[in-house]
Amino acid sequence: MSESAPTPAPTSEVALSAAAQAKVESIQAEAEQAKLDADAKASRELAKVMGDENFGKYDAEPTVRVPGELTHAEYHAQRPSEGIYRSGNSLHYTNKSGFATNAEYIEQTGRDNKALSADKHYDEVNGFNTPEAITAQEEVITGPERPDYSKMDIDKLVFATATALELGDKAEVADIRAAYETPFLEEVTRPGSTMDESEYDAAMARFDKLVSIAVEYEKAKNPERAEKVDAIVAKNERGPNVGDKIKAFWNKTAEGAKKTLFKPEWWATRWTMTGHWISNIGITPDMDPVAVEKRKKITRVVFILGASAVALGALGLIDAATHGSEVVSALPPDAGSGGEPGPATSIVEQLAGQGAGTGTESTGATSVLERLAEQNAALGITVPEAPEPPSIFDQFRQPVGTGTVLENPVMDVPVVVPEAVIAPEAFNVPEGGGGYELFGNLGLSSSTWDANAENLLAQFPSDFMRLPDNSIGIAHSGLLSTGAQDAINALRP
Amino acid sequence: MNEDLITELGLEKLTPNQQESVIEELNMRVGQALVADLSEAQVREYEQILNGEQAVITAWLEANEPNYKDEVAYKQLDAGSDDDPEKVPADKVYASMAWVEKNSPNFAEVVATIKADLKAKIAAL
Repeated sequence: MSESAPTPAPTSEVALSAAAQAKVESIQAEAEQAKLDADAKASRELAKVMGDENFGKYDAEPTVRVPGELTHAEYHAQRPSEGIYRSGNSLHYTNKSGFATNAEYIEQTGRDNKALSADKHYDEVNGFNTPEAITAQEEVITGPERPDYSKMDIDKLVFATATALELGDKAEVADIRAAYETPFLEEVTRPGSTMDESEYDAAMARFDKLVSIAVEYEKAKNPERAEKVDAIVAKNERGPNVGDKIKAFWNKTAEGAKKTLFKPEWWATRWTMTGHWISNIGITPDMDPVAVEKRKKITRVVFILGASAVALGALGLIDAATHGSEVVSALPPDAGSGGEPGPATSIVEQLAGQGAGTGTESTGATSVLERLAEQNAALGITVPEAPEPPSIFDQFRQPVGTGTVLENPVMDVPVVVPEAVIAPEAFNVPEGGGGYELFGNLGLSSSTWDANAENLLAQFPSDFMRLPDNSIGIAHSGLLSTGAQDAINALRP
Repeated sequence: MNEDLITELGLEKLTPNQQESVIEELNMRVGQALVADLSEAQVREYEQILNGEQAVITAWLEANEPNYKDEVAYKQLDAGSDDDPEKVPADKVYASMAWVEKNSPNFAEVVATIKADLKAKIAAL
């Protein structure tokens, strides 16, 4: 019998069935998942423990949180300038003592909060008193990135405030508002200033109002609106009309912000405010009621025409300033020479033909003014010569309450004629009033007060007094003595 | 709007009454400058619009702004007057503004020039 070759035994590798292989893989996958789950669980637990530790659970002394500061937002609201600087609309992280994100804030304050009393160690708790932090704070205050609000004009300040409000940056809002407020504050508190508190309050109220408008404007900006404005601009290039301008106005401005412009109250104000002098333009004592009424009507139309044009111009859609010089010569005399201050042009002057040859050439006999001049002539109204009609500005140069308003038919504004003496009412000193204020109200300069205060004190010790700082003030409110009044009258040029 | 003018003209340091007077003077001088180039018929038409004479307003709008009711501005003016107790008609306001633009096309330049003049005078005070 011959030997046969032995049959090789099967190996384990080849003995695994496909099913067994699948089971092995499943077990491996489950093990990997279990490991991941365990890692995740461990991470969570570790994070919890670390969090507890960071917030003082295992500290020997209890952790004291910074009062009112538990989040990054609160931190930033309380200490916006520390460690963070602004660039445009973005907040930037300067170093580890500042926290540009909530994660950074939690991480660092959690670590530093341990066992420190917030009352005694506020800066330590927050890492604000390290040399790096102090340097960062100085850089924030003096660095080039920080806008110099004191040099910005009101428009920029208003929009910067609106941006800060949008960012919820109350401290920045306060900074900007203070920058706007400071000059007014200095002026209203300056000795001898003519600004009173109501004007100061009005200036600040105006700023706040403009900020509100700017905020609304920013809110109103959206792609659809921009598209409309673009369309309007394109149409304007073909030939703008008032409808387009008003549309653009509405599209550019938050609805309602300036709607008062189109309310009757606005127009009523435009007209009723003219009662004291404009409505008397061209009215002469010898006019009969019909002529007076006629003149008042045309004055009203002229005024509202002007007010309408000013209002339309205020829509800001026409860059008229660039064309200003081109129309100077086209205007009537003194309606815009742009140079020498001169008397205002009155309707009466035009009616009388004064200056007619030096200004716009009339459109012939169709000019309403020429027609009215003819009507005046027919009515027997004559216009006397008016050598130098004063403008409203001349009134400002006169002491308050020191002139008499004459119904001079020639003048386009009331004529203030300086009287020989200042009216006694002008010497009625208000409570707390000073020498600069008194002289200012009387049309006398501060230097005149300075030059004469000593003499006035020497002559009228019951009216004037020496103040603790050695300057001279007014000793009482109410009317000054007649002797003092006479002495001050004598100081008038 | 007066507040804008006060700033633009540099009137901040004037008293409120003085500020009002300057703005009145601005309005009046602009009106005088514009009216000098208008005919009597034009001024009469403008006055009728201001007086709310509906026939004149309607006729003017139809002749000059026939599609004014489709204009966004008109619609907004119209809507804006809903809460207005005096109900100033939107077409009157719209027409009065449009009239100025059409009949005094150089109004913006006139306003700018007179503003500049007033500003210079104020600064020189």
